[in-house]
Amino acid sequence: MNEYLVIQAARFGDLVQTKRLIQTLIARGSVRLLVDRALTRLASLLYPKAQVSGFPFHTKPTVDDIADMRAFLKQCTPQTITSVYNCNFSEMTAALCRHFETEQVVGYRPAASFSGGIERSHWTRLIFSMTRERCSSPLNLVDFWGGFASRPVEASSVNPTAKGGGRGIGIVMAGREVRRSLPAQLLAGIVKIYFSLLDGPQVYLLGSRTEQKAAAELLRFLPSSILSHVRNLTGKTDWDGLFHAVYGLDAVITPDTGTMHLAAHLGVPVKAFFLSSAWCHETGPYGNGHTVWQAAPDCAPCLESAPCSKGMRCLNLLQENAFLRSVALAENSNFSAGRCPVQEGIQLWKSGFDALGCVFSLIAGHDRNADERAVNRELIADGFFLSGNVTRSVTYDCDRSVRKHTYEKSIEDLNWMLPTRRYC
Amino acid sequence: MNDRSLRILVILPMYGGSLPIGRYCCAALREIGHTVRCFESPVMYSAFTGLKELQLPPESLAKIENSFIHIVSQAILAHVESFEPHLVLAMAQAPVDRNILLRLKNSGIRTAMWFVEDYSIFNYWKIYAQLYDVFAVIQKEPFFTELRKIGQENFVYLPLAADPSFHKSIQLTNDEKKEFGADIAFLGAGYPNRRLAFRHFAGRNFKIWGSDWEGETLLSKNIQRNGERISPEDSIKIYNATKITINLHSSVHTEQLVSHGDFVNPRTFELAAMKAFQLVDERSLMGELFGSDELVTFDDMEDCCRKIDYFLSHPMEREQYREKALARVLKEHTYVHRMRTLVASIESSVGWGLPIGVETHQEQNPYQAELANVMESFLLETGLGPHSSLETAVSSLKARKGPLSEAETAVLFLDAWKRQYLHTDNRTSR
Repeated sequence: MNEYLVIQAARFGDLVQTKRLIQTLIARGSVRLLVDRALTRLASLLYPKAQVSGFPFHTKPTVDDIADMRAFLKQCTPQTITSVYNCNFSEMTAALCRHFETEQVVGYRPAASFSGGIERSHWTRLIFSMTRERCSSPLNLVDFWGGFASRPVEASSVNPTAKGGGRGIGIVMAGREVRRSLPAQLLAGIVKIYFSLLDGPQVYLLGSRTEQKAAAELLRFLPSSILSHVRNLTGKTDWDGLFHAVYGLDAVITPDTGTMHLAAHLGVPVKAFFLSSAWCHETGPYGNGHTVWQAAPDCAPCLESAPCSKGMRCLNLLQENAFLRSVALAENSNFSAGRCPVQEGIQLWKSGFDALGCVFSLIAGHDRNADERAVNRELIADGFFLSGNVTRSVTYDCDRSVRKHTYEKSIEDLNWMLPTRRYC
Repeated sequence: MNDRSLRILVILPMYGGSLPIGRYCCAALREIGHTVRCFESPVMYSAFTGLKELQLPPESLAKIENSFIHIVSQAILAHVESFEPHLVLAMAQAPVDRNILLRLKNSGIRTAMWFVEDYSIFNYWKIYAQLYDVFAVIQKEPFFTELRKIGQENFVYLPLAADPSFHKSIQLTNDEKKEFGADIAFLGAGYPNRRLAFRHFAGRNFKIWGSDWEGETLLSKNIQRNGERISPEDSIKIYNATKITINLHSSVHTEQLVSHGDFVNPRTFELAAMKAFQLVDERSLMGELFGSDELVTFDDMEDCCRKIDYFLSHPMEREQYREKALARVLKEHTYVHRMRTLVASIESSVGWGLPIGVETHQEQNPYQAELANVMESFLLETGLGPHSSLETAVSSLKARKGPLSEAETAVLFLDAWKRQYLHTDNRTSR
């Protein structure tokens, strides 16, 4: 029986977004999943069929940790493991991959050189070349990692179709990046809309202990009619508690967060609000029936690490009164095209699928990068189609010059000259 | 890494006689305790020679070959930047161009070349020698004077040597003795002086091994394997199986079959290390390397023939010479000796431009002590010794081919963790 090792050393949201890959491998054999130690319980809840282990990727390793690591590596050998899927461009995970034959490692391989380093597969190079200009970035991260495996499972089978469960709404208090989070007053306005729309449901405030302050601030902006329905769970849920809290909700209102991906994992409809570095075409909620309000001024998406020199134009757009009116109108019209007027710089997207995976369709607003993104997607699908990964291709009708321009940006000369399957 | 241990980048040539010498140097430097990275130029050789097959106009070919060498130089620079060596040691014919040497000149990284060539034949040293901090040579005067004339004062006489871990006496099977054995043998290329000299042995139990003997009619029956190149492994078998190995230094001149040159070739040391009995032609620098009771020399071919006859009938005397020659090599003429001499010479003439030993900022880090404890047991397990630093262990492990053990993998993981969280602002990314 095949045994696979998946190494995912990144955070909460990334672990959830590795689902298509892990589901694919579980269908083919047994899966060992190696994650950051803080996420082992979460990983077990997400992937009950996988054998989960935790390493101290983000905390200081102790002598005992190293002993555990060695015990783990003793069990996983080049002889027992069929393939290792290394999901991270990380020297730590690359170091662990040195325990195996180079050819066994998929995704990011340790380079066989004196100075170490990491080599990327053709797939990772291709997708990253297309994300150099993030505005035309073509692929959801779930499908990116899903593409590490040949013939990944159908995208539509990854998460349940979004469907309200009748338990109320969840409000995710903040994202890991402050700039991607919504200010309390704006969030309160959004909560009021959905509270009204769903006829006064229970409202659950979700977040860790660090978000308790943000929750207290939100409560100041909510009227007493809503406050009586609020259960503030910030800082009170472990991973099991969070699963329980999100399961069966009617909607989760959230910026780009790990909890958002958890909601999509559980089939809870996501009402996402993306700004700053968050970009729905990369990390939007995976599945059918989620919506994303994307603040998309000319400068979006930006880099998390770089300070904003534009006076947070994306946030300003969301804070205009017109924005809340658009949200209310869109929800009341059930997102009918043409009946959701939005300000310039605001886009409303709805999730669905094509042959490659999850894709967002524009409901309202203008997408200046539609052509380039679609051509990139077509290009990826061609590669997928040719390698037998999908049974039909994605085609897009656009101006010839747009296609030529996009090809020139996305395809590297060397990929024509040297074997595309090489790692480099 | 002990407190005098250096990081040394050795640049091998793409091909040629100095290539194996470069590899012996790497092994010796590691044995001494330095951290060594070897730039494997030979992997580029087929691509370089392949350019000639493209039937380019000569003027274009030259430009493209220059561009190729420039790319190789860039790869060397990339190693320099990542490894930050104390010393870049180039072997003769290494693809180190002038731009690299000029860039390194003021960087604090020391450069040295071991020019294991005859300076009177290969004259490119006139351009390159002064660009190196130290220039090691296998000849003395008048080469020393010539070097001073071009402004290179930091030169060191560094005769060739042997690597006893490779050049050693071995037990042969009966079949091997039959295949490789002979009363007299020579292994090497068919230079003009050798072709004429060896005609003296026509009709004897004499085997010629090696290439470049095409067109040699008188000795055609003596040439083994149709003049194929002989692998280093087979050469050891040949030397071990032969009663008397002739070691005649090459020459393109035929007026004097024994050229009476100065430097001593590597074969002299290697044969001695393998405990093979050799008759070697006289060289002006031989006397300070081997005594007359350690090696038997000849000054012309008649002398050589006389000594062949004598020593074929006196096996006990051959054995005494073999023992003494081996002892001398092990005592003074290994590549470890040469590399110690070279490093000491650089240290005394130009010193080191980069700090040596563990950098102090690491020691001040609060996590360092705990990590060091974790590391200690792994370093011992990986066979690097208790004084090796994490840097030495990691460099060694990264260079290793194939899967690592769980202990070795853990060492690499700790190094990556430390660099991510203690030294840089990196984050684990997608």
